[in-house]
Amino acid sequence: MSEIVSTDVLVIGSGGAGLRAAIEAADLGVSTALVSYGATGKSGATMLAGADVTLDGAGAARIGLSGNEGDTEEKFFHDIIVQGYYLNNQRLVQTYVRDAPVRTKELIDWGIKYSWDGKRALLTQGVELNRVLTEQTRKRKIAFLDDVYVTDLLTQGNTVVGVVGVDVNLGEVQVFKAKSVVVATGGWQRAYSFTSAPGGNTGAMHGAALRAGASLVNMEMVTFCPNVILWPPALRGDIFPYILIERFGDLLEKHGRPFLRDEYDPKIYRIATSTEWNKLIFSLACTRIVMRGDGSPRGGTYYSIKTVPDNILEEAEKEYPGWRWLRTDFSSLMDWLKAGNAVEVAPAAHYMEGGILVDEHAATALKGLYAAGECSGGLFGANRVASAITQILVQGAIAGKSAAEFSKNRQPKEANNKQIDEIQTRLLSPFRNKGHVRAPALKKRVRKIADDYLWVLRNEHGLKIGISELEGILSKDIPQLSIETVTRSYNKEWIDALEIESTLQVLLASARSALYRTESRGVHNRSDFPLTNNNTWLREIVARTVGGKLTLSSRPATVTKLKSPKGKFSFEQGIIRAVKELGE
Amino acid sequence: MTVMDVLDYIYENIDPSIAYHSHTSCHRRVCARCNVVINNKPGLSCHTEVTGDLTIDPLPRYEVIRDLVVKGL
Repeated sequence: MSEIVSTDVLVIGSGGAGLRAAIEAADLGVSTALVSYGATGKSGATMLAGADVTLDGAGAARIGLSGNEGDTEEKFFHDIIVQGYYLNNQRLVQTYVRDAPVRTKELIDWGIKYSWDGKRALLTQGVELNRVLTEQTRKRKIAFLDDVYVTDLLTQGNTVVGVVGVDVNLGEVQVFKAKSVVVATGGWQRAYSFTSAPGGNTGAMHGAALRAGASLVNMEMVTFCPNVILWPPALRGDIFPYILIERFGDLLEKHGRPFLRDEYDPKIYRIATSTEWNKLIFSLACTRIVMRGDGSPRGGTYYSIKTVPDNILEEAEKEYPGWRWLRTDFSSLMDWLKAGNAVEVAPAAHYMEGGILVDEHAATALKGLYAAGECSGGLFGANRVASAITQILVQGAIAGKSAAEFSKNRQPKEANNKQIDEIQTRLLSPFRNKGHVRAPALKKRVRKIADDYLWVLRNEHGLKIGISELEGILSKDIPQLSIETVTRSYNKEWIDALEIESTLQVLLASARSALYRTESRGVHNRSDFPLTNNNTWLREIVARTVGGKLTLSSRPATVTKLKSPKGKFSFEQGIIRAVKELGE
Repeated sequence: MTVMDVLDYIYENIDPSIAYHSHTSCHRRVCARCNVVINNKPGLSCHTEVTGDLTIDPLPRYEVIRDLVVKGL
């Protein structure tokens, strides 16, 4: 096993948060390395985003955009918390609204191509954001390490001293020593079968953080993006119909009947089609339709543009010339839709509001360990509507700064060789095990548990079955997991085997948190506890490993300014009240 | 089926040692790391639908790591 690098700041993940953290650390003059599971700047969900960067109107005006001065930072703060069902860590929200303008300004200074919606959103594309940030990292002294699957944190007592990973191409276990580590590895969407996220979003570092003694928070909070293409295979997983339905089109059940207006109050329908709240509202409605037996053959609903007049479509095409979006030519799909057909769509696992527990300095329970972006939890409470791009820029910069400051004037701590040996033994065990369990089939089986029991609508019965199956796999199947492929180089079977173990730990944290929260709040919906309970449940659920066992507890939501209304209310009542509070 | 679907099928049911880029595949035509040669034409395996006989080669002029995985994409 080789020691590859010894650095001040090690950033894991090269999506927006990782790129921005590396830029910050490098600018503060500390040695910085950026490790990616894939290729730098080609990994993670950032490049797949729509994308929007949100800030308050007054802040926008200060940085030279035509913003409404009356739309203050305070109002933006308030809105994010109302949208989050008051579960947000208000210190994290404070930091987000405070830094959004400066992070947006620097993107403009760095040459990002954008349009401005006149209110709160700078509109760009994920690939463009990625281009700008990657360009900025190349201008700084940063060591890039590609195709490394980081599996474990190395610690000395309560301090992080580095990480262990596998070079995927060489098939070699490697050690990376660092005075501080920034985790920016995104969500764990790939624990599910159907997702809008790329292959690298596995939650490996969520698992590593748990094993090393850090905490995870709000793991039950998962946003599903509705209207994701189920068919044809070449477009499966694409969110273009979701992008379009904010402008036009209908969602139909199996007989071709549009169902949204029947399912919801017109006020809710308007919110559903005009803000990112639509992800929650649409996903729930579509799930109910499918559970009722009115879904499409592949288990979704339909998106259709049959009722949209030709001239309106022509206008819309100006926004997507040739119906090209995010490097894909959707013109044959659009031709098919224009001919009167409907495309099968379904909710896909999309964004995680929960994750590694951090404070407003991106610090975790472990000294020298920071987390930024979607892999961290608490900012958006129970429901994200505001921009995750702003999140990655704000938190990325803060984490880079915190990590750099921690590492300055600090002597590197030695890694614990016994710990390294234990990790290496565990990582190589699939080569030595003689059992009958195989990674490809087991990966599918684990994903199916997530699909069946941890989807849009949960209940106690299903969650208990899911938890029992996950625990069974961890205790019985993992020790029997052996791999046929002997060669180490690009050994997909081996990497899958390693991914499975982390995925199991992450899913257990999520399923047990979902079971613990006996109410519905935001994106977490329990069919057996349909009401939101502000009297007892304004609490975050925290998961950590104590004595080797996953242990759950809860703590009150961190409130600095905004106290929530009291009482219990249904999903619809909650949205109607929120609409009033947001002044829509 | 897409070419990626075919490769996944082979991996899951026939030969788990097959090497093709998938660990960070975006599955949405953006990262381009799944670029291979499909019946003598370069294309993205995540996006190219196929029927009938299929020959897949690694991209030419890139160093091959193993099977269809090349360095530098």
